[in-house]
Amino acid sequence: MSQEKKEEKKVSRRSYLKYAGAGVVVVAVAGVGGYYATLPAPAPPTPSSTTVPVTTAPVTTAPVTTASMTPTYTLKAFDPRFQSWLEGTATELEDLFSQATIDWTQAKGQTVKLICMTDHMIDPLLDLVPIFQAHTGITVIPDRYAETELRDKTYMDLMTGTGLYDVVYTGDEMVNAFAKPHVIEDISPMLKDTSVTDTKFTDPSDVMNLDPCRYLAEYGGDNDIYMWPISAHSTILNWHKAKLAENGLSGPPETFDQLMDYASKCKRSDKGYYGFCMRGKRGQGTNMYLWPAFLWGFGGRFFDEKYVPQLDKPEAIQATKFYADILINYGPPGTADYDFSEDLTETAQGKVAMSIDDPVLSAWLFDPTRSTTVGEWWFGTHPGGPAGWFPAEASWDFAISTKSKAKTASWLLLQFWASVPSLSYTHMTTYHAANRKSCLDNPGYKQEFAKYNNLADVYAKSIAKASPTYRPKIPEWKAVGDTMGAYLSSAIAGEISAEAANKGMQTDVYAIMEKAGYYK
Amino acid sequence: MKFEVSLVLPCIILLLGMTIFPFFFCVYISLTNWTPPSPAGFVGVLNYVAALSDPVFYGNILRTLTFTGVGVATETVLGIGLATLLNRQFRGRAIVRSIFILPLAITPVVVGELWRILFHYDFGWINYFLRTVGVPPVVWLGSAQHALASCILVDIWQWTPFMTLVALAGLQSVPAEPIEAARIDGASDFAIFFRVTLPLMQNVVFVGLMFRVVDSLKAFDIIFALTGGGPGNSSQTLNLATYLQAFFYFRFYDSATYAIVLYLIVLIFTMIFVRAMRRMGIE
Repeated sequence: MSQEKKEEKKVSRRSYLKYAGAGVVVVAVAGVGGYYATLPAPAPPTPSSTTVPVTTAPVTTAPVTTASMTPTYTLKAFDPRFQSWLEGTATELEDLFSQATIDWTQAKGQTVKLICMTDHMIDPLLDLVPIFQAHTGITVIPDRYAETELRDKTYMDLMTGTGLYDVVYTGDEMVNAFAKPHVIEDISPMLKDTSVTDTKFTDPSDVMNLDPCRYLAEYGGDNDIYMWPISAHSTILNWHKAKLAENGLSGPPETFDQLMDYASKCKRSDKGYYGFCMRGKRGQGTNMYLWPAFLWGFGGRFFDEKYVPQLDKPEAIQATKFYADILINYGPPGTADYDFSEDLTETAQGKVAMSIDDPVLSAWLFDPTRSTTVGEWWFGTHPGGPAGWFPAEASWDFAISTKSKAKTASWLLLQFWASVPSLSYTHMTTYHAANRKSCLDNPGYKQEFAKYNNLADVYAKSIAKASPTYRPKIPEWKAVGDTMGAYLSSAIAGEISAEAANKGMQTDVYAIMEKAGYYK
Repeated sequence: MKFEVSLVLPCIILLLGMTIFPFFFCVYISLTNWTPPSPAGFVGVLNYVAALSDPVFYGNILRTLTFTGVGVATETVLGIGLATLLNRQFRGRAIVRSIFILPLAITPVVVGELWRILFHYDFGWINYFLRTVGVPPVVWLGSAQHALASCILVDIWQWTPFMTLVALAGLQSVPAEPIEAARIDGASDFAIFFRVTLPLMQNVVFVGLMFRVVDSLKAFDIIFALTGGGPGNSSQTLNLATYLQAFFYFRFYDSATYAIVLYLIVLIFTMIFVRAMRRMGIE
């Protein structure tokens, strides 16, 4: 390019300033405009406190009709197979709304932003949102993540006080971790407040697993409820009747010794299946979901009264040894990396004779889109050790952030989702076992679960037996559980012995607890 | 002068906000015991002492260096080889080049999930093909011996195309005359490649190598998706450990400490590369 043209191409200072200034103005205007455009609609004036002083006698109110709001909505099931169920559920919910004991429009115009999982249980809940929005005028905005990312984001949002979400979806093992620093709302006062709690929708006595959602006094809490469960989970033994019969066995094993014996007899490389399978992948929600059953079963415990870990005791070592041995000797290769999905794959494809996992897995064995062995599985309670049997305890729950500016709206949403029709629809369509007693008596639910052999019966027994302190409900559980899970995974991979694994657990967990100030 | 300063001011502000401030804040956190929502307490270099006395920490560093060393070396050799092939004229060369570059276009997390399925012991394609040719199936991800190797394999699969592109650029910048002269002098293809072509393209390849080394030291997504650092800690690298400390254990101070150590490792490698580049005459 010639020198003259280069001179012409140079931008003069005036031109630069003109264009730069124009650019800044445009960006500023766009930014301000965008900010106001995305602002939620102003909320109606709310009382200074969402709680009302508890009265000594319950105040009865006349049913509130929602005639001022004409509920119109379009329903579309996440799976077309369930469209008729969804419509039936809508009818049941309309019936409940017609008998409402509170004003469901009291938070009209508010928005509830929630973080939840991409897992299947959220799909039917979101199916029902149009009904809720039509009756309440509340907008629901879900943000969905896979489990690991959900846990991380929830933890970050609550602990840093960001306040991005009004409602979070979390496991009950986190109740103390969140309740202690007061980052989630105490639901108990709301339960007693008859202006915000509809007794037609919400009945605490009907929920089977409310205790694990309390911030227990033994952990320094007030025993109040801080989370609302929509599912109850435990651990169940899945056993393949035909495969066990093929090896001269009948009925499920009931003790650890029997389990090991059955697994050894059922490992049949000539037939193309293994004896037993369960989670081996490291993590407080993966292998640490199952391992405590063996710890308690052998008579061990996590901590003593002063929170000093007891993981190097013979019972704890025995639990690790049993867990590793049964998987190394009789499980599929690579179980050290097995999560729920690998367990499901092996079980549903009939590659194992027995497995232990969540009842969700058990129910999915009857889903023809997931299982090639539909109807072939039966179920037993978790085998026990010398100290008894200890099925896992867990639940997925909703909690309200203390930073939420829509707490009443959030509580209304939780009540709606935890109602009998909503939960029945949710659990029927996702092959879950429900956590409300009334659901178990729901005719549609009963009819559906009768197809799953003896699952409903075994599930009810397991939930009744499950203890809220199955895993320590300390705020440090995430760190403790993940640390222990890494050692257990190493033992399952054959990298270290059970003794070395438990010694490592003891040292590292002690360091975590010491850093957290338990030994001052 | 003011005009020149105003031109670079947006860049300076961005640098300060997105790089300088976060870096110094990270250093600050590494000197405290901050665990939200509790306030931070100053502890000095205690976190560094604790990290340096932790055998798992050294294991993380060793695995990081192994991952980088084996992975990048293999990618470089394979990349140069593939570039040599792709530099030739043949029908459909453009299509073949596009296909070779596809792995680079896939998000690393998706790559990790994809390979997780491929590596499955019973149902994965890798073991299926191994069985077909009479090789015993391998426990890829569930074995402490093979987990890190599996991660390296996937990293090679994804990033060899990058080195291929870099080497291809290098090859195309090599003048034809020295090669012709060597051929006339009777040099074999092997000798031409190693004595003429490779030295002429080494500058370009070296820059690509530097980028890959720095990137590989910070590898996270593939390992996280494939093994999550397991079984045990057998595939846990320093960057993954940094993430776990912050978002699994919520120990921001340990995470910051690991991040600073990783930064120093990357800085050392970068300085080595820059020195080497100066010696090679690369500006």
